[in-house]
Amino acid sequence: MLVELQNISKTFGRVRANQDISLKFEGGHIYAILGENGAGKSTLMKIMSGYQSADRGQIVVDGQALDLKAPTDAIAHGIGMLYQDPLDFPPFTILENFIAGRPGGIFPDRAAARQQLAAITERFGFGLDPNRYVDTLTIGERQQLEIVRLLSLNVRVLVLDEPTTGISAEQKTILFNVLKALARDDRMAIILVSHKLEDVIELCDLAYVLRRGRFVGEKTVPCPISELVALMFGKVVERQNRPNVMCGDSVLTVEAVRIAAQRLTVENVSLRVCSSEVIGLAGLDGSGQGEFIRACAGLFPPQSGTIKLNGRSMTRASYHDFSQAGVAFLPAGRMEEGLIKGMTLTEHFALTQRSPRPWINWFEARQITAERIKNFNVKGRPGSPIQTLSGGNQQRFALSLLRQNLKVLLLEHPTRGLDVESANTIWEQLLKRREQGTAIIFISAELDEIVSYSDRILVFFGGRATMVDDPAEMTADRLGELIGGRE
Amino acid sequence: MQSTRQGWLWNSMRDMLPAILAPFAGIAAALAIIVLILEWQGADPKVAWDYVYEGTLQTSERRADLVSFWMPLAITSFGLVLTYTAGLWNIGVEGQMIMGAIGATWAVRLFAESKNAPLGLDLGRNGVIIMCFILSAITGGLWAWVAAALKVRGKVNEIFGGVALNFIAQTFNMYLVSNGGPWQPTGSRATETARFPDWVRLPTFTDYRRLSPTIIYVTAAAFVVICLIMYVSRWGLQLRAMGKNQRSAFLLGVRTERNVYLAMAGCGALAGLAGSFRVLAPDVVKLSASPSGGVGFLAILVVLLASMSAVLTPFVSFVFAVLSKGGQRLESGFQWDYDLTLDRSLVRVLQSTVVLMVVLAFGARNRFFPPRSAQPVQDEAQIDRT
Amino acid sequence: MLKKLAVLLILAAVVFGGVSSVAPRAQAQDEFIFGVVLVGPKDDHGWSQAHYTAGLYVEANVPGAKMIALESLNSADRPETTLDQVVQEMVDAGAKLIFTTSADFEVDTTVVAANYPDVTFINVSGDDALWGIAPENAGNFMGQMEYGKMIAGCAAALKTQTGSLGYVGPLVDPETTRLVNSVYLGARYCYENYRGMDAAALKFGVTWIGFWFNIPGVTLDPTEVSNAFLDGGADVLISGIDTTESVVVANQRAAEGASVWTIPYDFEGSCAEAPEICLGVPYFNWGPAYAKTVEAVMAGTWTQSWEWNAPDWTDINNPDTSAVGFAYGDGLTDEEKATLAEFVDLLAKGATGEEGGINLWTGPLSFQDGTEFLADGVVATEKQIWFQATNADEATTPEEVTPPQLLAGVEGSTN
Repeated sequence: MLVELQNISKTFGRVRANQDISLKFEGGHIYAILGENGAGKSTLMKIMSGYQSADRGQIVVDGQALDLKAPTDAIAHGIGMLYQDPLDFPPFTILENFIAGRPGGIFPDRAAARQQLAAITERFGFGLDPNRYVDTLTIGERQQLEIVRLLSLNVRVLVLDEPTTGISAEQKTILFNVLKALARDDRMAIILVSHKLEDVIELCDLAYVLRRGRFVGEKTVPCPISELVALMFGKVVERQNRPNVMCGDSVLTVEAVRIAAQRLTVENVSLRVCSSEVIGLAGLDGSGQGEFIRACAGLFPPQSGTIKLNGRSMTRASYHDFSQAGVAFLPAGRMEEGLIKGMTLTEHFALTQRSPRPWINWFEARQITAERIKNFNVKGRPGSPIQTLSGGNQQRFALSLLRQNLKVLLLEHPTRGLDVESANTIWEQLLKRREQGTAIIFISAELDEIVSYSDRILVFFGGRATMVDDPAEMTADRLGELIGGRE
Repeated sequence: MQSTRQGWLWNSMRDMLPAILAPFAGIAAALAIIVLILEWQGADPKVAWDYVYEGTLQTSERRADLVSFWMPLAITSFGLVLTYTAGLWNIGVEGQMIMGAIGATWAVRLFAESKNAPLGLDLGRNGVIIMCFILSAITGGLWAWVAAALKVRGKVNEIFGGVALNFIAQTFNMYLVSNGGPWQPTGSRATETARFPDWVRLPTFTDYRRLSPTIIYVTAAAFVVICLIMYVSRWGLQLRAMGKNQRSAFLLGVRTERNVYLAMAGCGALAGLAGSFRVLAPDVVKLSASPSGGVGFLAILVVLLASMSAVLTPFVSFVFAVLSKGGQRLESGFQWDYDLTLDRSLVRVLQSTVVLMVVLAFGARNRFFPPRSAQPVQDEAQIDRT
Repeated sequence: MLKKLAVLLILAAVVFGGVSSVAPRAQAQDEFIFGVVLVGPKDDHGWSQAHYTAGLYVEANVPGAKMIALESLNSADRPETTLDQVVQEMVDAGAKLIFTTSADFEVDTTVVAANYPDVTFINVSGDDALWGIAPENAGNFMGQMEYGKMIAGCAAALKTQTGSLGYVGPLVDPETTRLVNSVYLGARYCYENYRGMDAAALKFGVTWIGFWFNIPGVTLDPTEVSNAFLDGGADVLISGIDTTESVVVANQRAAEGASVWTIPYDFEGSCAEAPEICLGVPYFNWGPAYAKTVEAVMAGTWTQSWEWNAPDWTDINNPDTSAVGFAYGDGLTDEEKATLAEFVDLLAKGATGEEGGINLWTGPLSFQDGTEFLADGVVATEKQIWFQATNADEATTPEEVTPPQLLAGVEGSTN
């Protein structure tokens, strides 16, 4: 069995999710598709499993090009997909769920189905009682049910989306053993989609890495984890020389904060930032940097530790208190958190303007908005609804809304999804603010961005942070090791 | 130059035509369906229309009755503009109206019927009526405040909180006026309070004994206030932002929790006033078993159909008032003159048909002729690099 | 903005565009129009249908009379209108006589009647004319339903196996209290005298739903109340509300095999939903009273009165003479029917003053709170029965009459 993806491209609006991706999967091997959030993994998988169709390119199985219109087509051609949230019917039993996903007309053969279910579960040591109700199962057990169902449909290629999220260590061991057995004994092709490097190293033979919608390279596993990181995050570029700022007073002081989030706990992170300093936060997605930056904005109260602004304690303060004290936060999802779809630029401006007057002078608001648009190089009119602007213009406009003389500016992925030129203009503006004394803390999945712009780098792994004081002397290997959690 | 101007003309026509035709199409579809329903029920649609007209607009007395039903509906709709603009589904408006009705009755009992008014105040007619309005706005507003607190503090969705609070308000109202409740006169056989004393009643028009100019003034004032809030004030803009994206509005500096309280309380206060209109109406002047009678729910339909536009609500609520009162006349007319019993639910079916069809027409327009301003810009490179 | 403007224009067009002249419908010369305002649906198998049927009776029996009726006038069903507006609509349509058929219309009828001195008003079941509160053109009448209810109570007592009866009551007022007490008196008499059981052992419970019929979310649900009685051991459901939920519930239980029976109320045909388990129905026969009033108003001889119409004791089920009746149900055996007829005969003798009759409104009777209603041997006066109050004859205004109470032995509150 040989599955080839040839020149797959897919765009959503102006987002190029997949660009010209060609990959090969052979039976008997376990592959990894690696990449950060937004790298294009999910889109590629959905295309493979018939859930979405590609704009260009094709899927070829054993020399025959497929035309997948629906997930059932993919299954008919032997490609099965295990989603992160198993697709089952909770109010029914395991057996009923097993039957529901199979062809078999109105009167399925329950006895045969029961036998087949028993045979597969026995082989892999899944402890699934056919009469249990699905809503009583753990995520791991539901995953097992889904695998059993796909196997019973004679799937030859099994795609798994982040299968180790939310399951126990024991279930993970069982799952990995099953996947290895399927590859070794049944000569199936297994494709693991993940950003968890440990899982990939443990399980896979070959890792394909995607970044910004493109295929950027492959590695035979096992290999040093830093090599995978380097592929995922891009090359460490030469840092441009720029004058070091004289570190003034410390504006933001974070001491030993502990932040308990749903998936992980950020433990004992401290940071002192002085004015005009740029701090880059690096790490794999979900390593704690997101929680940390939100805690600094007053959106995520820490369990312990202190946060001080200009020496004033802000530990339990609200977002609005932080914002009054001169802290601004620009989240990654601009249209979800930050800008308001359906409102014009002028309305955004009027909304954010602080004024003691209860009414709005629309004439004045329009004028000032027009000025801002010009000054910040935004392509759009004061009356344009915000969603009609391109991502770069939205981001520049979002920046223009922030008031001058901020103490601290917090940004999540300030240039994600933007082309190089847009990214550069954003940074020009950020650096201008830095000259005015604003301290900048930003998260990025691009190592070159972090290394070029940061004065110091805080690297997160598993909720813990390591400070890198001089990015200029940072090597790719060293960063990769820190991000991958190998010190 | 010439071509760009033509392009502009074409583009705006392309946006405007569907916008203008959509409601036409919706109303036309609704009328077609209504005609079919009436024909199926054996009623002549032309005669039906005559009855609707006769029952609502033909004589000045009918117009007066129409206005006295329209005013509470309209003022409740104004209040709902606040909450629905902010994305708050204030289903509890019905209960807020009931609490307002109770508040107004309470004011009458305190200041007009009780032998010892608080602080020995003797307010006179105007004073008592003003107290009725104030107390009803406070009780209605407080009831909405409870729903807001449940949402903000208790994370109870305002829809579920509202349904529960409606039930409690209705039950409390029944407790007051039925089965020897504290506000039911001794020995009374009716589920209602005693009629309010003659000297505290609202002034009426000399020609129409059932309509008071006071409620028209109060409603008109409320309309002006709501228009100022929605179109001029910073707060109105904040509510709009919350309705479109509460999270973004919060991050842009809007105090969303405070605004949830304020919008709900403002709506509750207006619904409370509507409740006071219903009990103080010159042909009612008492608290009955169901003082709101579903007017609050009707107001929700009004606001949805007016797509939360403050200027449209008076007109849409007027149409709903016509449909309600005209529907009743249509029913009695066919029964009295033609011995034809139309189904009791017909009036509600007619109202819902209008709502459904207009909403569908707007939906179809957005689906098939999206306004250009809502379409994503196709060519990113061009925009980004110019 | 354009969109808003468009909507606005169209709404305006819809409202005003179709304006056309309505030619007044010619009224037949010799037609006498009377209005009937119903509180519930005209096909509720209960109170409102009984009145609607009476209107049809008048149309059939009084030449030239024509009814115009409006059903379901209550603030929950018709928030858009009031009694005042409905009366105007009926007067505009030519009505010369208007029956308002609910206690809830009593106060409003008295107020509105003053505005239309040329129109005659009858508030059914009210007593404003008795007190002299009502204007000259407004009167009251009512049927002596307490006899029907006594017969119902007797039928229930003859049938019950568990010795437990459940009464689904509407709301508490003198009328409903009177009717509950009547059922209880009838049941107690028959349980003791025909069944030979201890009257104290008879369990008789009342639950008030809060209104004359179910308003979801406002009243208790009569279906649930009925089920609760049956679950609590009662085997005969007696209805005091305008609608027939108790029949429906008892029928469901009977279909499941339970031995339960029911006695509906108000409307002669209300047993039809479940004849086998229906013991009968005490019903109002408003036709004769309506016809009499219509004829009097037509002839110009009507004068204000408060009338409490008795059954025709020679045949309580005579449609042309009797104000209240009792339709026997198929749930009774022939033997039980005979016993019941014997009881009716005793009531008739008592009412007409013949030898050997009974009057169940005879002391000693006391109320739930222990106060005495009637001293030993004392027979209640008409007003005492009407108000279920000892001091009814002394009072000069309605406020002075003590609030009605259930008799001792009845389970259930008066609140």
